[in-house]
Amino acid sequence: MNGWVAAGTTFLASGLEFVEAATIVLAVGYTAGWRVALRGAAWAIAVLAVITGLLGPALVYWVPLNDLKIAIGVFLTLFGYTWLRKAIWRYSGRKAMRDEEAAFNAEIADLRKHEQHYAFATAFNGVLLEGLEVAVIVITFSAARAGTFLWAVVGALAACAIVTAAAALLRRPFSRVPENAMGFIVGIMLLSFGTFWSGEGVGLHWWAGEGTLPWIVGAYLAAALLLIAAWKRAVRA
Amino acid sequence: MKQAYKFIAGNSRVTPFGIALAIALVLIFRHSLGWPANAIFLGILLATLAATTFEPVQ
Repeated sequence: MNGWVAAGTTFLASGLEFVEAATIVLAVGYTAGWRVALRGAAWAIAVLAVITGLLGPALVYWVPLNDLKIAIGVFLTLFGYTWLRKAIWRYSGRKAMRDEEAAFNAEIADLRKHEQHYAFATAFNGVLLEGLEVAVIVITFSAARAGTFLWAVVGALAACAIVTAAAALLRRPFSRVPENAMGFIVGIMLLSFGTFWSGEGVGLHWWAGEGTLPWIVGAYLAAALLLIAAWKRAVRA
Repeated sequence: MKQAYKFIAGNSRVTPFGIALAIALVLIFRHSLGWPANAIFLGILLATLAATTFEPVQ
């Protein structure tokens, strides 16, 4: 697999999760103070680093490659279904588009109802939960193919650096990030890699080896576009 | 448990079933079918994508 594809997919997926985490940290910072917001975020990042550092190598060294490919494939396929289904619902009008400004305001309204210690828990949980998905994606991408670990980590770290720098500079929610389009692309990529690896894990010999991957991406893209068109019609009717 | 299921499968009842069906069929028929097993595997997963969009919006 091309390292750039791994880096690009983890960059987009991580970027989306970090944008959502940043919205929560910004909301905590504005209502309860920056100290508690950054403390909660820092603790969550430390926990995530431990999980990724322990789980990644443990998986690679102790689990047989084919079993690992099935497990990784199933995980990515399930994640991909969740992301792509949400994107299809949003583009067809069945679910409201993600709006960071609205999420930010809702978070602030919720924080104002609670005590100070709730602010730490909100920042910690927000960063941990959004980051956990990034950790799982990075670990699975690196475990399935030797040599992709660095690419996957670079993609995630680049997204983290850009989102953190933008949050520190802007100090407001990212309402202009094309989150819905990014979610659609990430859903297709996760689903395609998940299908490819789980297939290899159960002993399938793909038609063109790794060259089958673009065809799988094309099949899911076509299916998703058809489903959006069909659901749009159904919603209008 | 509920939280873990939500995190992993997005509360879907269809997608775990679709993946399990695709894997089971391929494990049973991959030797007798040869290359069409690829199409069956991908076809079931594509059908699962269509089916999961019919689930309640979350």
